[in-house]
Amino acid sequence: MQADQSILEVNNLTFRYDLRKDDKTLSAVSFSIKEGEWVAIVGDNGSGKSTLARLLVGLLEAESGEVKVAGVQLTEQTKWTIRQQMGLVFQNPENQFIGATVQDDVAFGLENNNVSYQEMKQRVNEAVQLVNMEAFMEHDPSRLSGGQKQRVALAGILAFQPKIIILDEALVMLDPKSRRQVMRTLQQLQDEQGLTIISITHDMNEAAVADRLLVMDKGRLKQDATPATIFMENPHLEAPFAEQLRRKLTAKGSGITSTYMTEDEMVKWLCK
Amino acid sequence: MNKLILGRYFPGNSLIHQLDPRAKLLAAIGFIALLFVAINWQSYLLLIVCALIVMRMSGIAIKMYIRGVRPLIWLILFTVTLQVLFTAGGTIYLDCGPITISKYGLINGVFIFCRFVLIIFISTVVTLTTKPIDLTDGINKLLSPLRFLKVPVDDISLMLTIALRFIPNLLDETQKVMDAQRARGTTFGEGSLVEQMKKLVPIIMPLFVSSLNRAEDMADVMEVRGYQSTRPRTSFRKLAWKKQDTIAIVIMIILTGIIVVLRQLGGYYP
Amino acid sequence: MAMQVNFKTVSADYQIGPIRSANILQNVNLHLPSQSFTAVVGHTGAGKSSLLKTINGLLLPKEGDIQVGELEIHKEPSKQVLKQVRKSVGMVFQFPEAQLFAETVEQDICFGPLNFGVSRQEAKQLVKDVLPLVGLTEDILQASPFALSGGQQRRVAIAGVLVMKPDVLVLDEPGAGLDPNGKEEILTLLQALHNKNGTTIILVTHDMGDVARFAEDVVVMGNGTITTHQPVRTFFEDVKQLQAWSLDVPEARRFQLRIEQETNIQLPWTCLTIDDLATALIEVGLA
Repeated sequence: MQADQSILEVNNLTFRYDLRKDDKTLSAVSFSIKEGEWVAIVGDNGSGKSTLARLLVGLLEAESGEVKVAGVQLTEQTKWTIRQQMGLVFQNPENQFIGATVQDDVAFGLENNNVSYQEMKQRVNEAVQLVNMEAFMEHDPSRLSGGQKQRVALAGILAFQPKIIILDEALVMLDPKSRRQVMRTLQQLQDEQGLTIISITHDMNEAAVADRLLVMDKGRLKQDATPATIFMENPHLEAPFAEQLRRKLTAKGSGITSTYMTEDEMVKWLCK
Repeated sequence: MNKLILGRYFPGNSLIHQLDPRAKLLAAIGFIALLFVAINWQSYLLLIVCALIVMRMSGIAIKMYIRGVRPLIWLILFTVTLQVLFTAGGTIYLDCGPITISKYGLINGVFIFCRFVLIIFISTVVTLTTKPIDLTDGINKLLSPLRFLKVPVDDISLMLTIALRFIPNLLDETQKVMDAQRARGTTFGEGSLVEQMKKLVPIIMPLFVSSLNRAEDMADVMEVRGYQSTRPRTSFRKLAWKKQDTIAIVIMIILTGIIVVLRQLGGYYP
Repeated sequence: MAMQVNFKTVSADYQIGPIRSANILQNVNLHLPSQSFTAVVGHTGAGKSSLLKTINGLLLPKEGDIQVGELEIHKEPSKQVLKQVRKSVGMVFQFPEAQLFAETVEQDICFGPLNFGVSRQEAKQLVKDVLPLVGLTEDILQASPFALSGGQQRRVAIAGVLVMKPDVLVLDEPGAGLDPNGKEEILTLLQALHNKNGTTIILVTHDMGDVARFAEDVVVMGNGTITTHQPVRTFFEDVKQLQAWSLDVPEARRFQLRIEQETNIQLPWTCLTIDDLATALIEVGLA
C-alpha cells in the first residue's frame, strides 16, 4: 500500500512569522519520508530549517499546507497523539531541562504520558544507557558539559520510544568521539527498530551518513537527493571531510576520480 | 549572594538527611506550632534543647544556622524591642509615659526572640538537609488531599520545581552578564545613587531578555514532551516512608504532649 | 602596540553563587609572548574560563601575579590598574550576545568607550571604524540589537569589545552556536586582526580543527593547572599523548594516521589542514 510506506508527508507547507510582511520563512515545502529512513536537512541559518522542525511537531501553525504523520493529518486535535510518535530534540540544551536530576529529566516525558512507575524506571535506565550517561543519573543536568547536556536531552526523547526522531542541531556540542558513538547508536535503532531519523545539521559528516539529504535555501526546498548527488552538484556547499579532500586533490592536479567518495572509498582509492 | 543560607542544600548522610521530606515538613510545622503553644520558660528550654539536638544531628556546623539568622536580626530585634516597650505588667523597672520596661515585657521579649530564632533554625534544618526536589515532592504529597477541592496541586509543585531550577541558572547568568559589562569598563558600587541605578540597566536588560527566551524555550520543550496540565501524570519519584519517619512523628507527638502539660501546670509567667 | 601576558605562580579560586564547586587555578606559570595566537584547550571545569578571567582582572589571583604588558595584576590591584587592564585586554565571553542591552546597536557598541572616558563624538567615530572589521555596515547602527539575527548579534557583541582596540584579545568559544560560515568568518576576522595589528590572541575552544587551522601555540589545561604549552604542530604530532589527555585529533591528522597505517607509507609532515594533507598525499605519490 502506498500510504503505509511514508511515515511523514509534508505538502506545500508555508509559514510566515509576520503576517504583515511578504517574505515567507517557509514557502511551499513538500517532501515525504519513509519509515526507517535517515534524512538530513541542511542549509544556512535562517533558511527555515528550525521553523520546519517546529511546524512538524505542531509548535507552530502553518499558514497553508499540511503535515501527515502515519497517515494522520496534524491538527490542534491530533497534535498530542502525534507527539507521542514523534520526538524533537532542540538545539539549545541549556533551556531544555525540567527535572532536577538527569533521571528525573529523562522521565519527564514519560510522566506526562502516564507511564507506570515500573516501566518508567526501566525505560529511563535504557535511554540513559543508550547515550552513555549512566554514571550521571543523580547529577544536576545544568552542571554538565554542553555535550553531556545534549546527550541527556536526547535520552529524554529516546525514553519516549518515538517512531520518528527529529534532531535540531542536537549533537553540535558533542566532541567528535561521542558524536560518532551517538550516531552509531542511532543507526542501530534505525536498523533494529525502524526508527525514522530527521537530522537538521550543519555538520556535513553528520549529514553524509543520511540516506537522503534535503537542502533548504531561503525558506525553499532547493534539492532532495542522496548525499553523493548533492555534494557533486553543489561545489559551494560545505562538504564532508573526504569530499573536501577530493576537491582539494583535484584542485592540486591529482588524477583522483571526479565522483563523490565516502571516506572508506577514499582510503581504498589511495591505497590502491 | 553566597552568604544566603535559606534555600540551600548541604549534601550529607545524617539521620536528618535520610528522613522522608514529608516527615521533616510535618515535624517542622508541628514544632513551629508548639512555639506558639509554649508559654513558660520550662517549655522554651525544652524546645531549645530539642532544636539544638536536631541541629547537632544534622551534621551541619551551628555556625551555618547562625548565619541564617543574621540577615533577619534587625527585624527580630525591632520586634523584640516593641514587645519589651509596650508590654506592661509585673515589676516596673522604667516608666516614661506610654513606654515602660516591665518584668513581663522583658520576659515576653526573651520569649519572642527565642520564637523567632527557633523558627529560623528549624526551617533551616529542613532546607539544608533536604534536596529542593524532595522538598517540592513532599509539599506535593502533603497538599494532595486539596485535590478534592480542585486545587491544582500538581501544577503548583511543577511550578515550584521549575522555579527552583531557574534560581541557580539566573545566578549564573547574572554573574556572567556582570563580568561581561565589567570587562567593558563599567564599575559597580561607585558614584551617586542615580548613577548606580543607571548601571543596573546593562545587567537587568540582558537578564530580562534571556529569562524570556528561556521561559519560551522551556514551554516548547514541555509541550513537545507531552505536558498537559489537564491530563493525569504518573510520578517518577517515589517517597518511601520508613520506620525512622514514624519514630520522628511519634517523638513530635510526645513533645506536643509535654508542652501542653507544661502549659496546664505552669502559669503564664514564672 | 602589542602586549605579552605573563603568569607567575598564579593561584585563584571562586566564591560565586551557592552550591558551586570552586573553579580553581593552581600555581599557574605561563608566558604568552606578544603577538602570539594561543589556543587553550581542556575539559569542562579544567580552569580555562578562570584563566581567561584572570587576564582581565575579573578574577583576582589569591597568590602570584599576572603581567599584561607593563601592568601587573596581583591580589589587590588599584582601580586605575584594573581600568587600564580592561582597556587593553578585550574579553569576548561565550555567547557574547547575552550582554547586549541598549536600544540601538550604536549605543551598545559605544558602551565600552564611554565607560573608559572617551567622548561621545569620538566613540561614534570608533564605532564606525570597528564595523567593517566584523563585517557589518552602518545601516545597522540604529536598529535594535534584539531585532537582529543570531549571527549579527554575535558580531555586534564582538564589535562592542573590539571597539576599544585592545592589544590582547581573549575569547571563549566565539564560534559556538553559529553555522559553519558564520564561525569561519569570526575566526578569519581574528586571524586578520592578529596578522594586521599584531593583536595577541588567546582563544578557548574545543574544536581541534580550529586549533589546527588558526592557532600558533596550544595550552592544555587540566584541574586548574597548565598541562602543556607547545607549538601547534608539535602538539598534534604525538597522538598517543593526545589520547591520554582524551583530546581529539583534527580530521586531517586523523585521516593521515589512517592512511599511514593502511599503506605503511609515512607522510613527510604532520598534517593539520586538508591543504597540508592533499599536498603531502601528492608528494609521496599516493594521489
